[in-house]
Amino acid sequence: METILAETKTYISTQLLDDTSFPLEYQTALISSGLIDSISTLKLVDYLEKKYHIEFMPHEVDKDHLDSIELIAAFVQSKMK
Amino acid sequence: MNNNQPISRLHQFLYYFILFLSGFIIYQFQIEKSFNLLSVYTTVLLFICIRPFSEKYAKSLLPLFFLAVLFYLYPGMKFLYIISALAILLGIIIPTYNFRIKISLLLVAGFILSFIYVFPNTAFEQIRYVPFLMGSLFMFRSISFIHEMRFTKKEISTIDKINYFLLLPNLSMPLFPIVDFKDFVASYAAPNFRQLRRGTLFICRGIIQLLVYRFIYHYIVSPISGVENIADVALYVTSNFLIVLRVIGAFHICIGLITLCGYSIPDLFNNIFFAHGFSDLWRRTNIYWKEFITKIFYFPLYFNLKKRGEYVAITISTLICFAITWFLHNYQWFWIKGSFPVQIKDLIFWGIFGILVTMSSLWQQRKLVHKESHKQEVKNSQLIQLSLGSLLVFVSMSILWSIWIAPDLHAWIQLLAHAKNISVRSIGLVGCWIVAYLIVVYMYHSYQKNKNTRYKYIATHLESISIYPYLAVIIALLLAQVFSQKKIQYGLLLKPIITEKLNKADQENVDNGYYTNLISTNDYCTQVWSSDLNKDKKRTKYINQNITLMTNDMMLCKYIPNKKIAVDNIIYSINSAGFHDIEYAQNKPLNTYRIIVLGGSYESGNGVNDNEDFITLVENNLNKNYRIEKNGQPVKVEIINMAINGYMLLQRVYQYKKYATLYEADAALLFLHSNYNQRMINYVARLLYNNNSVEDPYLSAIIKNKQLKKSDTEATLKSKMGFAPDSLNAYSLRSLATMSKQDSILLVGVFLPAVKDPINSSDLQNFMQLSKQYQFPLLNLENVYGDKKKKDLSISEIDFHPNKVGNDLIAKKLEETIILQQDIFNLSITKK
Repeated sequence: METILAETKTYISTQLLDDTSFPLEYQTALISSGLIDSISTLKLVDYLEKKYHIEFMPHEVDKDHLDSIELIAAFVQSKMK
Repeated sequence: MNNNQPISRLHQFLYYFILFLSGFIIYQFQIEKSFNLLSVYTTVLLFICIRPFSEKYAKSLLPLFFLAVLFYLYPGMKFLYIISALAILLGIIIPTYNFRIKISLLLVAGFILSFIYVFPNTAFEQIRYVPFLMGSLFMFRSISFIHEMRFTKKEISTIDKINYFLLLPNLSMPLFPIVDFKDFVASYAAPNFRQLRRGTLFICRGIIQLLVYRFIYHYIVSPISGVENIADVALYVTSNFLIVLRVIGAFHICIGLITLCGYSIPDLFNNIFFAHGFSDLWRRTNIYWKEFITKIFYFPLYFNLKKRGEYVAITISTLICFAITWFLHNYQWFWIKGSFPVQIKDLIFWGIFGILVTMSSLWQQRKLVHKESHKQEVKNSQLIQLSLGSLLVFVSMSILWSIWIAPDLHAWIQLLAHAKNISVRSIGLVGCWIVAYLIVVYMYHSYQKNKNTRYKYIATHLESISIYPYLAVIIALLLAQVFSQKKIQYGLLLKPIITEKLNKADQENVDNGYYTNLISTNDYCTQVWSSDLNKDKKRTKYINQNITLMTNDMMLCKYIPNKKIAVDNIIYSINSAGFHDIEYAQNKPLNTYRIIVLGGSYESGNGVNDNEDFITLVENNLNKNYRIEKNGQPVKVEIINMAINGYMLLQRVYQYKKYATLYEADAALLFLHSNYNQRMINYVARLLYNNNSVEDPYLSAIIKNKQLKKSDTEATLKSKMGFAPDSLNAYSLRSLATMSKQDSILLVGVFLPAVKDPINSSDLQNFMQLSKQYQFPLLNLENVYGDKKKKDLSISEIDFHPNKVGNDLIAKKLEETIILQQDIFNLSITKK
C-alpha cells in the first residue's frame, strides 16, 4: 500500500501537475478540486493499468476511486487482489 | 475563517440579512421575473428558516416545498396533470428492476410526452406545459441517474433520489437540467455556516452577473444592422459573447438556492472568459455538462478505442462527443421549446469548437508525454503566454459565437466584411480593448498561478471577505433604485438595468412584429426568450414564428392557410385564404356590404382569442345591434380581416391589389399608426436582404437612384434614403387612393394610436394632410384608450400590442366612429 501511495504521488506531481510546487498530500482532492482534468485522469489510469497490471472499466474512472492518492491506492489494491 | 472556527451570531445574521436584501433586489429589479424567480427564492428562504428546527425531516420536506411552488405556478387542473406525470416518471425511474424494461418504459413515456408536445392538436395545446416541465426535470437527469444506479454499490435513500429530480430552481430555470447524481447525493450536509456562506455568495454573484448582463445588453450590444467598421464588428461579436453572463448568473443563483437547501453541489462555471486554451474553456464552461458528457460518452468511447493508440482514441472520442453535444443541445431545445432546430450554423459552431478542443487535447496529451520532471517557477513569460492564449480563445469564441447567433451564414459573412472598413479611430479603439483585456487577464493568471505562494493569504480568506464587496454592491443597487424612482438623472440611466426590458433592437423587432426567424440558439442569452415560458407575454413573436411563411415578392411574408395555434389559453386561427378570420366566399353574397381591412399586427389581433379582436367585435356588434341599410335595402356587413403582422403601407398596396376586387369589396379600411418612416426603412432593408423581387416601379427607382445595396446597414440605408421613406409612404397612400377610385371601392383611412405611444399628433397631422391631398376620408380614433395605462392595455410589459381590454376599447371607439360617420360609407345605421 505504501509503495502504491508513494509511486502514485510521484507520478502525479511530476507528470500531471502544471504546478510542481503544489503541496500534494495523500488526501488532496484531485478531480473534484480541478487539480487534474479528464485527459490527465486518463493518463493516470493508463499509468496505473500498466504499472500494476490491472484493468479499469469506464465507469470506474470517477471521483469515487480516483479523487485522492489514498482512494487510488485503495482501489488499485482491491483490483490487484 | 474556516468551518472549525466559532461563528458569531452576528456574522450569521449578516448572511441572513444579505439573503433578505437579495430577495428584495430580486423583487425590485425584477430579476428573472418572467421565470418566477421570486416565488422560488422566497420558498427557499422559508425552507432555510424552518430547517434548523426540523433538520431530521428537512430532506423529506423539500419535495413538499417543490409541490407548493408548483401549485402556486400551475394551479387547479394544471397541477393535477403535472403531479400525475411526475408520479408516473418517478415511478418508472426510481424503483430497482430490470434495466431494459426500465429503459423501454422511459422511452414510451418520452414518446407520449413528445407526441403531446408536437402534435398539432389544440386539445394537447392546453397541456403542453406538462412535457415542457417534465423535459426540464428529467431530460438529462434520468440518464445520469440510471447510469449511476447501474454501477453504484452504495445505499441511496429514496428521498435523495426524489430530491435529485425535484430541484426547486428548475421551476424558475428550465435550462438547469444536469446535475451529477453522485455529486448531488454526496453533497448533502446538515445546516452549517459554510453552507450558508456558500449559498449566499453564489446568489449575490448570480444577481450581480445578471445586472452586468443587463448593462451589456442595453448599452453595449448593438443590432447587427448598426455594424459599420472594424470597431463595430469587434464590439458586436464580443458583447454578444459576453451576454452569456445571463446563463452564468442565473445558474449561479440556482446553485446558491440548491446549496441553501442542503445540497452543496459544485460550481458550474469557472471564469470562462479567461480560459487560456480550448480544452481549458471546455473544462470551465458548464462543468456539469462537460462531466456528464465525459462520464456517459467520452470514457466508454475512449476505453473502446484506446487499443488503437491514445491519439486516435482522444481524437475520435472528442469529435464524437461534440457531435453528441450538438444533438443533445437540440434535444434540450426540443423539450424546452417544442422543436428540434437543425441549422447549418449549429453544425459549424459545434464542428469548429470540437476540432479546436480536439487539437488542444492532443497538444495537452503531447505536453504530458514530454513533460520534464523538474520544478517550474511561474515566470513572467509564462503569464504573458497564458494571457495571449486567453486572448486567442476569447476572440475565437466571440467570432464562433457570432456565427451561432447570426440570423444566417450570409448575414454573418456580411457582418465580418465590415471589418475591412478601418480608420485610425476604429483601430485605436480595438487596440485599447485588447490591451485592457490583456491587463485584466494577466492579473487573473498571476493570481491563479501564485495563489499557493504570494497570494496565499488572499486565496485562503477570499470566501470569507468577498461578502463585503457584495454587501456594498447590494446597498449601491438599492440606492440606485431610489434614484431611479425619483427620476434623478443617473437613476434614469439605470432604468433599463433595473427592470426586465428588451433592448432597442429587440424592442424594434417586437413592435414591427418581425420575429420571423425561427428559434435562435442565443435566445436565452437575451431578454427575448424570457417570456417564451409564458408565451402570452411575447405572443406576437410566438405567432409569427408559427404561422408566418416567407415569400419572395413585395409582401415579404404571409400567413399559412388553415394554420391554428394555441398560445397558452389563446387560440389563433388562419382561414383557408390566409387571413386571421372566419371563412368568406370570394363572391360577395346578396345584400351584403363588404369591407376589407388592410393593416398590420394591431389589426390581426395577436393579443386575443379568435373572435375577440376589435375587427370581429365591430363586425358582430354592427350586425347584431344595428339595422343597416344601403340605398333603402337592409344589408349585412362583412368585415374581412386581411391584416398581417408587420405589414407596412407598401405591402398593403399589394394586399389590396391581390384581394380587393377578387373579394368584391365595397370599402377598404386602411389602418394607420405611427413611426412609419423607420418601419419603411426596415421593410426596404428586408426586401433587399432577402433578395425579394422588387416589382414596384417607384421603389425600384429609389433603390436604383439612391444606390441601395443588400450589404448596406440600417444606418447607411437611412442616410442614403433621406426623405425617401416619407415619399414611399405617401406614394403608397396615393396608389391605394388611385386604385380604389378606379375600382369604385371606398378607401377609408383609420388613424389608430399605438398603445405604447398614444399621443403622436405629428403622425396624425401628416395622415390628415395626406388624406386630404389624395381625397380619401380619415376616421380618427384619437383618445381611444382614454386614461387607461399602457400596462393595462398591452399583452405584456414587453409586448405592447393591445390585449383584450385594448381591443374592446378600440372596437367601441371604431364602432361609434363608423356610426357617427355612416355617410362616408353611404349606409344608414340605426339602433335595432
